Amino acid sequence: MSSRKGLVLILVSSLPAFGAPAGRVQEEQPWQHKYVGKAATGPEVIALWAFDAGAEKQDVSGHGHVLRLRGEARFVEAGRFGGCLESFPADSKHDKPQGAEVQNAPALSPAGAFTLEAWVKAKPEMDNYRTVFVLDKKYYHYAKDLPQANHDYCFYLLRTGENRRRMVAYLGYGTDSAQYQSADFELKPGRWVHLAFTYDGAGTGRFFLNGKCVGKTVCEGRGAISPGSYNLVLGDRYGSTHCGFPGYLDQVRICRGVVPFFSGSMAIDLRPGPTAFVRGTRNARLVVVVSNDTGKRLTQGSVRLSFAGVTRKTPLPDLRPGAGRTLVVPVDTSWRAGTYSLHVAASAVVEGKRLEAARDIDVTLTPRPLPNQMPVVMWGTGDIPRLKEIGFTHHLVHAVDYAKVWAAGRPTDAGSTGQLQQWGKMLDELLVNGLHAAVYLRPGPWVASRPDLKKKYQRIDRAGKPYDKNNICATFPEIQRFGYNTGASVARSFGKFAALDASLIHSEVRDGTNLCFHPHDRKAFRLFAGYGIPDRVVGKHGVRYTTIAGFPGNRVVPDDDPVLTFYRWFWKTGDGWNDLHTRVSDGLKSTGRKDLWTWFDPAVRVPSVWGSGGRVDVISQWTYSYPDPIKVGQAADELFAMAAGAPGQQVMKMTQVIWYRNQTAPKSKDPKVKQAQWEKDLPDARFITIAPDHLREAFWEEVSRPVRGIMYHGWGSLVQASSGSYRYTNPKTKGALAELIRTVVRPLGPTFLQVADPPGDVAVLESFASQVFAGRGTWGWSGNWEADTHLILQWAHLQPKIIYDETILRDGLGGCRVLVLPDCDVLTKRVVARIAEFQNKGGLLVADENLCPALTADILLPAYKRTGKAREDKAALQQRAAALRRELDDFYQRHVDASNPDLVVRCRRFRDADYVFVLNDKRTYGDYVGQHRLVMEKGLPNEGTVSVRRPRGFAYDLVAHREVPVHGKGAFVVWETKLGPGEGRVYLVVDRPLARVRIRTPKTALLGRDAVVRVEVSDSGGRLVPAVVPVEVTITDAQGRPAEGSGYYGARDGAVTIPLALAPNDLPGRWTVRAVELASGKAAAARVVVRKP
Amino acid sequence: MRTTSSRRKLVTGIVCGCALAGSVWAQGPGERRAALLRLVGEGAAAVPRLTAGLNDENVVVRRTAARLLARLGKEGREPLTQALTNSDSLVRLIALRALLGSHGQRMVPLLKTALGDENVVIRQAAVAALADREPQTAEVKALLETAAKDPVEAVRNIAAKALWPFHKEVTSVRDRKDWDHVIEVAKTIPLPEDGWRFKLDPARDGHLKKWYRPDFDDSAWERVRIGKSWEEQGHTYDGVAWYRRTFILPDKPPQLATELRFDAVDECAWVWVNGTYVGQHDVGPEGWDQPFTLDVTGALKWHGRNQVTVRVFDSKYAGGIWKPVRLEVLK
Repeated sequence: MSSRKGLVLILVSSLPAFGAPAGRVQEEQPWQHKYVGKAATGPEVIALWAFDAGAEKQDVSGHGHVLRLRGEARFVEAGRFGGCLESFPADSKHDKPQGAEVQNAPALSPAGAFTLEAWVKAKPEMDNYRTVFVLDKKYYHYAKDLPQANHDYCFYLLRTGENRRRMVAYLGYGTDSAQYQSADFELKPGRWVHLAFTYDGAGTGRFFLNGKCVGKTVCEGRGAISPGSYNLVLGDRYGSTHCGFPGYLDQVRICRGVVPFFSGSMAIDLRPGPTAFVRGTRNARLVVVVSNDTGKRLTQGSVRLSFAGVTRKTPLPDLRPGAGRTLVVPVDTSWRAGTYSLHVAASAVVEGKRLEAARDIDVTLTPRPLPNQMPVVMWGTGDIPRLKEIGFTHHLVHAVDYAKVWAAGRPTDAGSTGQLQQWGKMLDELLVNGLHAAVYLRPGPWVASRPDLKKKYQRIDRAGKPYDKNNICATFPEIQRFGYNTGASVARSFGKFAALDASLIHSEVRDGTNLCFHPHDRKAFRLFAGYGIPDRVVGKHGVRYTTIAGFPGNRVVPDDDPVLTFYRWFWKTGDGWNDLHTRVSDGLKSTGRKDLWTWFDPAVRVPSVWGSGGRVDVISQWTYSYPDPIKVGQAADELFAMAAGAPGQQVMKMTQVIWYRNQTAPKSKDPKVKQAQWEKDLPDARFITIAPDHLREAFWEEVSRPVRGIMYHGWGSLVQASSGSYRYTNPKTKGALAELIRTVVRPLGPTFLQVADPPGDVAVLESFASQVFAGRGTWGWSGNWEADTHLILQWAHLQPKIIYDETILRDGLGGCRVLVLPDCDVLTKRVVARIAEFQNKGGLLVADENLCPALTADILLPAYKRTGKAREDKAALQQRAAALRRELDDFYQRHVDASNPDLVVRCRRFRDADYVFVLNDKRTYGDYVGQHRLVMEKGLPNEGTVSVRRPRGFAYDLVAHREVPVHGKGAFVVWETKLGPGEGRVYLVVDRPLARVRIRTPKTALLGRDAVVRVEVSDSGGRLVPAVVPVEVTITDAQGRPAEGSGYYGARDGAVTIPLALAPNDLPGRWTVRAVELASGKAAAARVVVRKP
Repeated sequence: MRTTSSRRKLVTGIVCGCALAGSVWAQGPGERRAALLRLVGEGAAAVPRLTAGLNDENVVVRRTAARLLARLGKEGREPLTQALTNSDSLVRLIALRALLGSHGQRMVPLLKTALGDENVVIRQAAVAALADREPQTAEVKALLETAAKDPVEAVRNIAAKALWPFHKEVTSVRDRKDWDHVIEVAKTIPLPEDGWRFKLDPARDGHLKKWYRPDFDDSAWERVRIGKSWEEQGHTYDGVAWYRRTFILPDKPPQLATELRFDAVDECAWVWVNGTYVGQHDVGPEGWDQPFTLDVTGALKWHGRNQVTVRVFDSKYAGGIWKPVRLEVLK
């Protein structure tokens, strides 16, 4: 198809997820009629219930499977073919079994292939119930490791949306079970539909809706079902009272073998694949299948594909029943963003009669993303309208059937046909709405969730006993393969869906890891170290030196100490998880997708040794902001320390939207504690919403560091939603987040992503040796003295970076002026030597009383144990910050400073430009949780001066987009700042004032061709500003409509080049380009005449 | 004894040092510290100026001077001895550590003084040095006993650990590499979960009061259960506590050995059976959920009444005998 003739601007309504309403049904099919004769009593019929008057309970097949009514179920006249069975749901009003029951009999458990079918009519109330059973002889419709739970079959409908359902069959194979699913379909109340499930006895299940196939699942390696002992139930679940069928059943039949079903028409289907594309996508296409679903031979057929009034006609070969013709339809993605329609019309002759079918297929093109956009991820699943309203770019999705991938033993389709359709539709919908999906893959925990697999793969202790806590030994080769296959299966199935561009891999698995003593684990360590796992190693957290007789008095250990060597090996590679993450990530990238990024979190819930996350692209970590939200920065800096071990790896940071109630506002019986309204309304809330001022501070702590993106978890606490124990207790938080995204992330994100951290001259050592031998370490919780040291440094207006033992050994301490050593009880010989050398060259050591005796501090920073009273603790830590400042000031010159400790400052640099971030940490007890005195959640206004060490400068408030008056004070450029509660700011400081914005465009441009727009920001000297300047660009077409390319940019070295890919169907005429630099607000405009070629 | 020559050098140095100090004090502390650091490599010649640095008005400069003196070894010993009375605690600590390395047996008086220092870090360093002393003479023991009464727990802990008299190497019969037998548990005798007597020991001196003796009268002690932490039974407490219980054993079964198996004690345990110390589980906090067994073959009385005492130490979170205990008769 010619790309210029490909698409037409016709918006059409959405269509069902799978298939389309075909043309008129002209060929009558057996399932459309009352079964009589062979269809009722033939040798393949196992049982048939017609519920007809006078013989309501009888098995029409003559095999004696007589019904017994349960609960309120009854036989009524309003059936599809006479009488029918009316069943009911179960709830508090109907807490009894419903439907009709049949005594178990061997024949009801077919030995090979079989077919289940029924006519059903839903009542309006069906939409209130998630799972409704058509047939059940299995009882357990979920994985259960019980001998009786894995036999026979059940067939039920799962709610997927308003009046939408999916058919599910769950088959038992003796030791386990497998699930088969259809695509979603509409099930309106009051309308009879025919449902069928066929199983070939060899792992392939198909679903039919009114004779049309609506899904196929293949479970490789499966055979016949295993016969069970439960009775068969129609219209409810066997042993439960909460899955009754609120509707009517008629002509329920069970047959041996696969019964052929046809809709009686031609089917026009789309192969699984995207229908939404980003403009410019290469090789975009739809695969349309026109198939013969009549049961008879089709001849003289043709297909017409219509776009933009241009029709292409393709002859159809003669098609035998069930056969189809595949048509590949290229999609021209050069067209303007929008939704278009592809019209497919098929025509053929069956037994002398002409048969026709048609379908309109929506195709959406979305604008190309602008460069350097900062992801804002909802770590969880939200709904599209509210995700967009708040400003999220991503949320989590689940899109793989692990059991299927495990059974295949190689990369395969990530789910059944129905699942692929359903997940694909979801991804397209996200893209159309400007959102993206991050697929959450967790093959490791899935193995542990399968009792049969857990037996083999669970980690074991020294005595060979499995640990209680689920955590598999990830070093088994087959587990590693499974990890790769999982990623590769997702890539194979969804690699063409632009919306799916991220993946979370194995969250929170390191918390549950433990030492493991399989023979292969022991062998691996012996190969690595040359000796066995040391006897004194008993737990994953290390061995206390106080329990080791003869431990060196100066607490210096050899770098190759066997215990240390073991733990270093264990946390890097020994437990297998890091490599497993890598394997999943490699699998995801196996189809060559370049824009897909993978991440692992929480990546620093481990000791301070490089390697966490393996070779994923991004590591992240979530942090609860209480009691002091600047701890979020401490956790972020731990991530940077970890990522330093994996060049190229980036960092994202997550703030928990949820707060633990018991740690912030525990239930109190003290009458003096005045309860907040939410405490009265939700007395049993376990997780509450983060206070908005904390969220603001946490946000500024994150974006003041060079993070690649930010994340939030706790949808149910961010918005009103039913999310289990997460409660929505503070409606202001959502607005605060939306505002930050709108006013900071969007306009300034492209700038932030191009501005790095300076090397830094204040470092905090997190000592792995001390963690192994003295039980130290934050383990990612940011809640102990080591973490508080970081807070002290922030309040002292220092800019600490966290380093590991490995950092010192690899990079030395060059460039560092101050090294802070909290809880560094035990160090290795080489680390001590490097630190001593640093100190002898003039470096300053700041340490607490726990410092390894081989070193002595220049400045003592006494350890502080928190009392739990937020105000006292903050005051005590800020006192230490003040004392440290006093002692350091004689020896150390800071680059940025502020006039009070609650103005926390941080600086990033691009060439000579400073980006000075300031956040307001002035807080008090509020009336949200503050009445419990555990958290000061209420921000207070704060003002003061901020200064940066440079001989001259002009400062710009990038949030307010205005210049700020400065004055010189000694070596500093100083300005005033005034911040609201929890508020932050970022100031750009440059040598010369910004003077002009200029737009360079061609005078004319042609439709369907590329043009270039360049925006330049220059200073008073006429040169391009040597900084990254945030710029907003608006491009409008001849009718004033926004065009692709509009949005926010970071003009690197004062300039940004914007490719303008004009679509063939764009509007000719005078287009306008406007640009505003967001530092001082200077603007410019230019016009381009767009013409037809 | 110092030679005349070295004394002369010292006197000259102090004079020069004071003169130098007078000039450099006109500089800022950063410059003065840098000046001291430039002395590295000058050896004994640097002593006078470093000694003067011990009295710098800035403590960081003083500490630098002390540290550099400590690097000099015996050349720095004299000024460091004087530095033991420096007003800055870190200077005193640097001096103490440096001198400990070179005083041998003569260090005990130093440590005695240090144990009285107002600064806890110095007391900690002193008690740690005492704890490492071998042999533990009466004088050292007396100092440790003094330290065991220090107001600061960290100091007390080191002393108490050093003074702790009970230890027995523990190897399960099942783990003995010299036994080439297939060992099976022939019989299991669970110890009751209720009826235990329990007492907190915040002073950690229960062993001095012989709480492990079988005839000790524990009738006034609280009754608790094992199988759950002491926090779950009303004690929000970290530290030492004792459990005692008597139990009756049947006739002696055929056996290779009998072991007392604890499924877990949070976090350390020391165990006596009928007054005989049978071993410990002392691997620090990591031991909180680790099972362990102790060979009690020789300590049990079959066909009679037995008494078991368990001293438990917990440093954080929940504590106590929180999982079952049983005797395992091995064949």
